[in-house]
Amino acid sequence: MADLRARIELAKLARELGVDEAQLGYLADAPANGLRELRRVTCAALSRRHEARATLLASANQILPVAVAAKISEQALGAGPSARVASAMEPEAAARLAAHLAPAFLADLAARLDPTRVGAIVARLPDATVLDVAQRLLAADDVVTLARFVAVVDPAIAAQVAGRATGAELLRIVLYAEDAAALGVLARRLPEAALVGMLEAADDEEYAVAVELLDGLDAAARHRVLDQVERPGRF
Amino acid sequence: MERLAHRLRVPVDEVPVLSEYDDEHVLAFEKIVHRAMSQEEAAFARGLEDALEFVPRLLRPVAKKMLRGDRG
Repeated sequence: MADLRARIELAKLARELGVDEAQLGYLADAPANGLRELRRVTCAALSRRHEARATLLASANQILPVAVAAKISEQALGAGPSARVASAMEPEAAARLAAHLAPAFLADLAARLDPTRVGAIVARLPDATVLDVAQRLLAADDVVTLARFVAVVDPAIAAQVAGRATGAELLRIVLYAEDAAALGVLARRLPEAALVGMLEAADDEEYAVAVELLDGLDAAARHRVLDQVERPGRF
Repeated sequence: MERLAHRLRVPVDEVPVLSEYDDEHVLAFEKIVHRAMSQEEAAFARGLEDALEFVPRLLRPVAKKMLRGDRG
């Protein structure tokens, strides 16, 4: 069986392609870094394919009243195309548009956005909006989307969201996140109890990956957390 | 593999991972990518048509021209 990192990469690839992981079962033994690269190349191709149309729609949004552009996003385009359009918009204009979108739609949109392309938009959104969207994603158990945004949202907000997650949810956010530096920052802002809960929710394989999160802590804090973790069958 | 590389817009020898798989699996992956692209294409086409319904009447000709590339 493939290792945990490879299984996570396969799940991410399946999600980008809108298929069940089982449909990519033949890739189960592929290495994690190869699958990551395949996802990168595939996502770039999908994005390029619709770039011209997304850019056209982004230009059209500039001549329309923002309330109309918001209606078009929610009722005509839907989350998928709207996410492409948002990536093609000027961050200021996209943030203005976001202010007119329903939080539920913003949560759908977040699941389709490429976080690496929308950092400047997210930075312009009110904290309350980001928290509301994150809370909806958490309630929908969409920890994969939350994980993708760990490196994009303000660390204080990321910590607030992670602090509301259960140990198991936080574990999955950490496993699916891609930016080790951002995770380190997050670890330093989280209450120790949250880190303990996360590690206690992990099986042995997950534990080996999740415990790397503690590298972001100083030695004393790291020891304090590890001392509190109760794991059956572990010393 | 050529077809997949063309679809992904990368040189054949730069398609990650799949060069080690047989043709059947490469073709299966290519079909999945093709389907994902087609579904998004259809969503865009539907969305563009529906979008015009929301555009104020006065702006509709300009919007049509922009979105469909109409010449007049």
